[in-house]
Amino acid sequence: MAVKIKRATKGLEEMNIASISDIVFLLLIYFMVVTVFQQDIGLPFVLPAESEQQDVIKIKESNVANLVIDANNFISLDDTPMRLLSVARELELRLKANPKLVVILKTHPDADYGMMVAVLDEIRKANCKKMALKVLEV
Amino acid sequence: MKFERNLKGQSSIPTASMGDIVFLLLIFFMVTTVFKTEDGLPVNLPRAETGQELKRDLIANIYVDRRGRISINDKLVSAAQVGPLMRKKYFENPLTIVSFQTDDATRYKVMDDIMEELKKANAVRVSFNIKHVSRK
Repeated sequence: MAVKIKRATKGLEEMNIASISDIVFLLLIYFMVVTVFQQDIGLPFVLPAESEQQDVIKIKESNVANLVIDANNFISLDDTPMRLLSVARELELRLKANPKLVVILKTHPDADYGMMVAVLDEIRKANCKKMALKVLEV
Repeated sequence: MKFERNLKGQSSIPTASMGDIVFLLLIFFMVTTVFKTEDGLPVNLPRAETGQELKRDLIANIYVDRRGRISINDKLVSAAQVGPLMRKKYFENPLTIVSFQTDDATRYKVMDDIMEELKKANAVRVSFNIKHVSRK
């Protein structure tokens, strides 16, 4: 007696695509998680170009505020020792008294860069537009 | 007049187009994802409050770590090499902003040397990169 074997004669069976959205969802979630919109934040500053240094502008001594950071990261404003947090307020007062004020930030070569940036931050807080960065001659 | 009513229970929401929507989202995220291309040096950026966001496409990074090593495009360079390298970038785009990724414990001497080089190369637009904090 012959055994009858059932054959799929309906043609090709369709692939099951119901789970494809699950897979795609997984990929999507992966990319959403690893995507970082990293934004750099900085203190912009424009250096004096070499060519500009030839035409030197003379500034009156009375219009200059000398901020000095020494080798031990101590700050002084026109030879008066000062705390970092009071720099902005002091400069603001001076700027009000004299709008032509130019701030010169002199940093000792051995001072920390972080300290220089902290003082620069204070100067920006005081809204001083005219300023220069210098290295302290030793 | 008799109205036919669908009494077979709730009809289900068609989910056939779900895959299309998800694919669109996937493609969007794949296209907008930018992976960091530069490793640089491990640095601990100084903290400040008055920082501004920088335009990504204008930036040329210089990494300086606390030992005074300088890295540009993942290559260690000396301060004297910074000028020529930046001159090239500046030539390609005069609006280039040189962005210092410098450790806060770096000696100022190193930074001053680099800045002198940048002045010579006419790359005068710089930015001291910081970690934004708000004191209050």
